[in-house]
Amino acid sequence: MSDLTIIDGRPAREPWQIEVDRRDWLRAMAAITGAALVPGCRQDAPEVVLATPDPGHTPGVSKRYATTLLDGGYGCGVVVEARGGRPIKLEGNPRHPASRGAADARWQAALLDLYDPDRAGPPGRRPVDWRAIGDQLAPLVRRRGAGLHLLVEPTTSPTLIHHLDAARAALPRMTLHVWAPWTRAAGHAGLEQLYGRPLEWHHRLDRADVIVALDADPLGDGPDRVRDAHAFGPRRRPDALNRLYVAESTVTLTGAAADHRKALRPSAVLDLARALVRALQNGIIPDDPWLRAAVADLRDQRGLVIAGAGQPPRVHALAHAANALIGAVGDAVVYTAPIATPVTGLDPLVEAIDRDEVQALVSLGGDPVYAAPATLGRRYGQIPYTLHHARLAGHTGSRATTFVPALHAFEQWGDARATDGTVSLCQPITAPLYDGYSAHRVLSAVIDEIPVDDRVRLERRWQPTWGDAAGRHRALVAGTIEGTAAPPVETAPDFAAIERLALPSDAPPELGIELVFRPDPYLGAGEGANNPWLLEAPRPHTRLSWDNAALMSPATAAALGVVDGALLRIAYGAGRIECPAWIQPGLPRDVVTLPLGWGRDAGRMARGAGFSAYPVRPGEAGFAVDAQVVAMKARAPLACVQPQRSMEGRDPARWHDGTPSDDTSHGSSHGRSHDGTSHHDPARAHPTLHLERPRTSPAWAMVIDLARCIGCGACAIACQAENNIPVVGKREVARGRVMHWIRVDTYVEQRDGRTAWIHQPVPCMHCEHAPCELVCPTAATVHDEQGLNAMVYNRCVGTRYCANNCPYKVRRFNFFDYNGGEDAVFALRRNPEVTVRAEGVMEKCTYCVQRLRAATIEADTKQRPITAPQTACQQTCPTGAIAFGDLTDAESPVAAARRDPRHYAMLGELNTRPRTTYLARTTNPRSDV
Amino acid sequence: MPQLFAPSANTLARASVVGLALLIVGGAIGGYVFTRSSWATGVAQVPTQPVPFSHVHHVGGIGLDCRLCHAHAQDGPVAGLPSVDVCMTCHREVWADADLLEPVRAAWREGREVEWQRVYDLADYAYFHHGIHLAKGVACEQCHGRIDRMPLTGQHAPLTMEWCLDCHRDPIDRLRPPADVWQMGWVAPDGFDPHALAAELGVRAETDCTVCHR
Repeated sequence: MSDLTIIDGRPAREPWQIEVDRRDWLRAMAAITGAALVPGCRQDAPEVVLATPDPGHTPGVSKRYATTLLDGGYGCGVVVEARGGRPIKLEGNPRHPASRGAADARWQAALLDLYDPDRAGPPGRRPVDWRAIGDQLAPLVRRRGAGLHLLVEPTTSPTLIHHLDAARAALPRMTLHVWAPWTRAAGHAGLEQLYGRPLEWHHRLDRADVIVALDADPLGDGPDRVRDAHAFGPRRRPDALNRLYVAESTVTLTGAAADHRKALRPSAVLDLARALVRALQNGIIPDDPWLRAAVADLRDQRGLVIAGAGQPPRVHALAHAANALIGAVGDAVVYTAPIATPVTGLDPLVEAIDRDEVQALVSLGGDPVYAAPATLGRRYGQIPYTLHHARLAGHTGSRATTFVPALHAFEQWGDARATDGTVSLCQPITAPLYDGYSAHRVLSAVIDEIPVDDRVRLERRWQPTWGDAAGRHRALVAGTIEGTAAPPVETAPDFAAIERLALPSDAPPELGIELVFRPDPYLGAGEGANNPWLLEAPRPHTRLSWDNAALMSPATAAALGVVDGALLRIAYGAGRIECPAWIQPGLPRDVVTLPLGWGRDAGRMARGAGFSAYPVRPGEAGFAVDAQVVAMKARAPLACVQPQRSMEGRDPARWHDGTPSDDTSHGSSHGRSHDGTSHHDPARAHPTLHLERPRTSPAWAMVIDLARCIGCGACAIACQAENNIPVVGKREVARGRVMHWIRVDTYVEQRDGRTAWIHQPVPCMHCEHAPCELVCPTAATVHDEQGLNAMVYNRCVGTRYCANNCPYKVRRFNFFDYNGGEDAVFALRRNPEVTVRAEGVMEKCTYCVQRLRAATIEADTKQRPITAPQTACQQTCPTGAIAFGDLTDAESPVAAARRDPRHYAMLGELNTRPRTTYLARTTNPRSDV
Repeated sequence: MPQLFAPSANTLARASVVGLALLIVGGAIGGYVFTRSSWATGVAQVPTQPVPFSHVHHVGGIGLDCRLCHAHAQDGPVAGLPSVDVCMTCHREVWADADLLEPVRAAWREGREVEWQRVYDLADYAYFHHGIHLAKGVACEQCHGRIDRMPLTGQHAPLTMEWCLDCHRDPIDRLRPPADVWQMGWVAPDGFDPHALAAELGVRAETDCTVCHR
């Protein structure tokens, strides 16, 4: 025996022992086949410049910078990881109130927007000619802005607002319009109705024991969705359960997470809100059981009422009135002074165009021709001079006289405020990848002033606040400026006014089909339209990829005589669209939901994906009543990653009803391990073909809490960004070849007569007894000491036996050279710590082994015990549903989660002993409903 | 019926049976030898550099520390090459007019870096970390050889997986105190106990695939 045994526990081979092991055999075989091919291999020495001019820079190590993304004009703090100057990943900024360290799918995918090759525009696009722009606008500037109209999206950026004010001062006759297709304007208008002055609001969901959402989707819509989800998640622990009432006209993340959900027509929400306020104010007990329960809970406990952005201002006024009545103001909802530019709408602009008063229209951001086709879009060509400034030209930019490409948030200086007023800073992480300019540059051209560097502009604005250079440095490192959160505003509503607001209406209930318009969960109102990660990500609930569809309940579909994918012709007013139908349980009857944001001619990725619902949308309304919907004969092929929405009596995803569930019913004595170690009791274990391996520290494991999971899909996109996962396109998705390492399964079941959703993220289970390993002919998938089921790409010959033998179906196969076919610019965002897989290779979740190795190296170098790193999915999860850590450390969150009575292993009866396990979903319905 | 095969066919058949066997065996041996040949592994190959930099002079002669130029070997994954500023720290004064150094001066004047050619090109699917090896007492010399005796720098080790694993399976005999890893031609002092050192540094055999492949 050599000395080796001391360390490795394995006898070394004596020199005289002739023994051909698997590796020698493969080597010989490879040598034979390889001998014929070798002249083609090697020998061009790669020319590599590995200089380290920046003394603070360690090559091969990432740097992290705090910066800010914009979402509806509000700031979302993120931390960008850059390698060699290239942003490769982003995470939420723990110090930013809108993030708290979490990020959702849209923020994660913002990384890809930076590299989007379509930002370069069509071949032959000429550089921006500022002199020509100046010449065009000069006559209007001389007339102090008469005939000049400026259209901007709502913004909270103090420097931009300051610049807009300066522009208006310089050109007093210029008209400023503020508009976007989906805003918080209804909420602002509602607050103004109630309190008589403009206010901004934000929620503190963690403080509410009872949340009533009136067609609202706080977890999936609006700039505060991550903040709200982050506050909501911890309140789904069994010891701190809140209760969520949702009345909604479509299926949203919030609705699917509700304890009591009520599906109703969008036009009926106003009456529901009135009845709610009347009941709270006068003590009337409503007839509706949902409302009765909600009112009873709101009276007894700390509550919060939220109205949806698609509902008219009056519903918001009523919701805020309800908050005043139950004492939620200052607690679960906070009002502050307004920070965003007030939305003026498009009507004044459209009227001015019709009066031929618009000589020039300068639009900053968005794609108004796309999003307002019936009003501005139809008239855009009549305006003598149009200038559009946006990252992608889209419908507006391609029709404008002049298009000025905009910079990505990671390429410019800037600022923005969160809903609570906190100022956060944008700093450039990289030099502009494409020709582009900031909004300030365009504004300077419009008012004919000498452009000031954006950085100087920013520093002038904030120097008084942050003080000296140290304060500036602190702000840039943190990403936020300390002490800029707005103080709460004390308000008192007029209770007589509330009573008037809540008077029942005698208008007859609406008949006919109602259309509901919602921003797509990933594309938003069109912002993400050219982002392949977002296009391919399967939508929550519908599980559709690369398409939107008109969503309707099975009853509506039966009445219309349509099936999944059937083409519909939808008409409202003068607008007409054709689109495929998709049956979505949980929608109210005679309601058709049309996701916005699709069908935007934003670039090569967006082309052919989905349809635009804007032609049938009246103005900025969230819904339209009495639309014509006609089924046609034809069908459109749709790519759905999960056609099966029922568990068919099995229980891969489980509900917890208060009693510890008993796994013996599954014929498995070990599947439920309460202490996390009983797997090792051989007396309890089933016979197995696998070697019993001792569990050494660290033994990585993951527990996913289904009670916290809202099914938003952020984990899947974070994983895609971290692990260089390719996009495969609609045709391949339809063939079941989507590559995401985490799929978020969604099941819809009838429980106690209610439609109930359960979401289950499924990454690789890292089974201790992995069925995939037994069948691999080349040992390309093997276990390592830390308990990972490792995938060795170089050994894989692509038999796909492993995927066949995997009961969880988490293995993904590269049927084509997806990565090689990717646009070269996209390759810049790849994580250099992760192998880029080639054609014919199997891949799957690695528990972010690159992060584990980095942590192991860090611990080993310093000779300290290892601290568990965060996996990409865990780090981004807005609700904190994912726990990851060392199983052998009894103090670790993952070991604690395994002791939870809700803990279970999916398909534990197969004796695979998965390291990824679940906590069953808890709900908190009232017992008397 | 006429004969289908000529008498010579017997010989041909025997010869082809033997020949096929020889071809397989020869191919296996040839392949085995070839994959280990310096032509395939790159051992002792010396890429042509823009400047014929001599480690003999700088390390063996002047006695510069490795870290003066390869600053990040100690803590980073990549050792790094010196920026042209580091070269010019001395060469502004020393050999300031040498024709040989013109590419360095040109790069410095033009704000470029010298385009050094990579000597050690590890396969892209293997992830290597300099820092952890040095922290665990694996000396530069282990992989890079007696760099102080290389007038022009060539590859010392074959960088095959077999070569990596040789050490990863049994690192004991290759360890030395981390303070001495930079030394060339280090000789273990009397009474040096590699086992005690391994225990102190927490060295263990690392043969999991995930150690190097991700």
